[in-house]
Amino acid sequence: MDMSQYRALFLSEAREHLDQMNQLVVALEREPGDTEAVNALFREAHSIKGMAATMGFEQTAQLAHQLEDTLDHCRKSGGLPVAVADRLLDAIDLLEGLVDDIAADLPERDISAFLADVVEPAVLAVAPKDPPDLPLDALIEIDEELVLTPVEEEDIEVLPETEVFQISVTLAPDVAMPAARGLLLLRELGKHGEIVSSTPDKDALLTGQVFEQISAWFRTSLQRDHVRELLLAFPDAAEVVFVEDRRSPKSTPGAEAARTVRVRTDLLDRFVNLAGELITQRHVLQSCARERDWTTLDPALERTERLVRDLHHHVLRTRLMPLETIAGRLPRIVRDLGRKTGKRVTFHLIGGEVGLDRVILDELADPLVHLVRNAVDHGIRDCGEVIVKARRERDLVLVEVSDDGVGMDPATLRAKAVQKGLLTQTQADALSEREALLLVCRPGFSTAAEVTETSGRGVGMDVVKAAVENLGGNLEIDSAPGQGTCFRLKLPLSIAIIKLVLVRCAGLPVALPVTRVQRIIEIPRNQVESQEGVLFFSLDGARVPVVPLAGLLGRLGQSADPVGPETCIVLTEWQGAPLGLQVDGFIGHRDAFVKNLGFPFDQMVGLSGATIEGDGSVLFVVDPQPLLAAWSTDVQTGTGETMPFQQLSEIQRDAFKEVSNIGMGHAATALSQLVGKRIEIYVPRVLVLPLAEVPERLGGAEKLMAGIVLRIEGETPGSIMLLFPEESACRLCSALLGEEVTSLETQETVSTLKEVGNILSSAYLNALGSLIGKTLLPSIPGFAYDMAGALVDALLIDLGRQGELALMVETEFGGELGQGHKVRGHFFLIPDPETFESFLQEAQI
Amino acid sequence: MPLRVMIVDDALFMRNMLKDIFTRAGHEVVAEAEDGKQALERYQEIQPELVTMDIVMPKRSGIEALRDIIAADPQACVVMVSALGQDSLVLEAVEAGARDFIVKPFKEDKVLEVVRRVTS
Repeated sequence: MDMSQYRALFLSEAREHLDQMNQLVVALEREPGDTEAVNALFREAHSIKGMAATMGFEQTAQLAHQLEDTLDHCRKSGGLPVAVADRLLDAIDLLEGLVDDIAADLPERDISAFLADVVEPAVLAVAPKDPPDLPLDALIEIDEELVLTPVEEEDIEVLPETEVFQISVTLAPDVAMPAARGLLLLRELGKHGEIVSSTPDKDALLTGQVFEQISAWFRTSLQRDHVRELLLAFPDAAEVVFVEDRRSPKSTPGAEAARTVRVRTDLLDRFVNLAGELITQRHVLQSCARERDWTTLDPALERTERLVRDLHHHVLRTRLMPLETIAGRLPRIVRDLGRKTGKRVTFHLIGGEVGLDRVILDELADPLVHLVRNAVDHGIRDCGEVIVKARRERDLVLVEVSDDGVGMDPATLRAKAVQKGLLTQTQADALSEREALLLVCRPGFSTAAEVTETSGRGVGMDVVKAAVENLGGNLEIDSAPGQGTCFRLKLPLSIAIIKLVLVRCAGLPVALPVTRVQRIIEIPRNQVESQEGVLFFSLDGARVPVVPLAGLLGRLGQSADPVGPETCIVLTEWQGAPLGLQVDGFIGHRDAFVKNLGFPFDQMVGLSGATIEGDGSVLFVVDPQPLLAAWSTDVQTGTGETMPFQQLSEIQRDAFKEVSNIGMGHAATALSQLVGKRIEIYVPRVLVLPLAEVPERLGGAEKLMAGIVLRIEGETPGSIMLLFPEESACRLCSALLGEEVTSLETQETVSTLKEVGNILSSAYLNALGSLIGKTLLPSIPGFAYDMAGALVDALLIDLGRQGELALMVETEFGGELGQGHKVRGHFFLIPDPETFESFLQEAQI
Repeated sequence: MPLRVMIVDDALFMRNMLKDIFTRAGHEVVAEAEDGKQALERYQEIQPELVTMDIVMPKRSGIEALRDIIAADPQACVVMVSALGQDSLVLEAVEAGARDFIVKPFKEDKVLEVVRRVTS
């Protein structure tokens, strides 16, 4: 039998039993004569033993067995001797450790020392009578015999048609409960004849006599074989036949198996019903579609929506678990702390049945323990009580941890914050009472006079507060000197766990809700094309428009690798049609608690929430829908960038042409110095044209070009692109490198062309910068060798705008470049829209 | 022949395990009870052909429940499920009319053997 499937259930049930035991022992300490509690404890230990033995966890079973023995004695002696409680709690701790071992798929820890350290009989009254001895091995090597051997015949009257014979049944040496087995064997025989005598006899068996062989004189009309068969039908005998190898102790743990949840059967029934109704609805909808019957479609859709909402509601309910599942260990913690600190503390849990999302409970467990510890350590002076109270309030759950101890004084806290340099006096004075109390949640703030063993160890109130807030809740503190303290946690009933798709965009990680993502597609960059100013790519034969996410986010041109060969498209939906969001790359999937954003972040279009990354950084969740809505409005009304370009006057063009001439002059000088040859650069023409039209202008989108792209950094950002026709680029490189260059894809040519781009850009920007009185610096260039159309599209994608206008400066390289051939290049300045206006204004001077 | 089975055990773990064993063997688990009190109620309501009865349970113990059930239906086929070391309880149960017993830890085969024997 494959046991692994029961493993998760075993773990969760065992932990529940252990929790229960902790509580019972603590309760028993207060009322040692509570026999029902002792009985309950005994049952818990017994359950653990049975489960562990069944699963083959020997150490756990043995320890539970000893515990059970101890408790059995307690039961008989009518209560729990106080001194035994510690031993019990130690055993429970050890059992918890064993369960942890099992959960971690480790071998069970050795408990022989603990088992050997039997409580002195004087303390326990009666020590466990015999060492626990679970014959688990019986399962492994069952060498069971059920032998019918005739022995000497006694003097018995033989009746007609009946036979009398002696039967001797030998049981396996380690058979469980031989007395009961013997009793059943005798009863079986008794049904089919007369037992003249037996050894041991029934009375002896009823006293629990242990035997290995039972023999009986038996009178029956049945054939021997038949009798043999009847007896062999007993499972102990059958076992011989069916003995199988011991089950593999290595059960596959699997992260999945560890996450089980118990669901009430009525809820499951509800799911089945809902699923059934949904199937019916599907048929209705299918029929509507087939018959083109639009009149019944609406009601059918409404009904479907109701069903889906209902299903969602019920599914969420399955995630709710009572608070007591994590509060169970609190009484024990309070008890132990009370012992250590010598305080008399009572603990009450009120509203333990209040349900919370499982995930919230998981995350809440440690903060709750911390708050309770704090209450005992710092709140309560010598004696008092700690209360954990939960109640539901609309869609919130309030969990309060309160004590009736010394309380906190806001004035003291203010003073301390100032003294510690956390606040200025003015800041401290400005705090309300409640805000002042929350100072204890500041990192590095501790009110304890001394650090105690349990509370003041690094994990502070700041962690508690962060955990609560991370769950989408918040923390309030009520306190006054001498009035005790109450920490109030307001928690959502259920948490927004959203599946996120993480992408890199403009050099930043950005999270998109998975519900907004249909597919992630990585395609060669040149498969993104532009037509009439609209970017698109082909998907399954259809044209899908592409919008760069960076553009939607206002982070254009910040991509780490704007001209890399691959690009990544997140396929989403916009107004019922597929739309591709272009991003730099795909990072991965993530399940995350997504918190809603507070003011002012909630005012930002497209930011739907945020989650905290493992390293503490904030990751914003971007909903592309509102961004696309804003973008489409912009595109339709034609606001923004194109206006100033259209108004470029003749004078301005001349100004730019002049700047370009000056700039290229500088560039020629720089290049000449670099290669030790006289190089001249001319600027025959300066044009302003839509970037998308550039490929046509250069001789067609298919024309192979060497492209160099740079960003202009500084207060007036923009882009620069240099394009060289293949033969010109080769010629340029040949001249500069002093050797024949035929391929543009060697490292040497790439770095040469990047350097040319760098020098030209720097020189140009230097000239332009001095004209407009600004410092313009080029970034490190990127290089690609591709068709003109692809190069321009790549830049457009990165810039995120369509219909972008570019200032195109044609260049001709001359001088000592050899062979008299001309080297032509094209230099493009594409200022960001907000920059261009300032360029123009400044350039008019 | 498929049997209609009722499982009485306070541990869900045990109930599930037995349930799986019975289901795999083609039997139908028609009822479950988690204490001795529920056991009798469910028995009278459902009249299963076979009952597996844990001994140590809250409210009414398995032996008390066994006696209740036998009193209500002398033909009831009840198999005790017991842990090791409860020999006297099992003896008591056998005396009270339990048809057989299964000892935890048990194996699937053994459970089915017992079932086959007591119902044949």
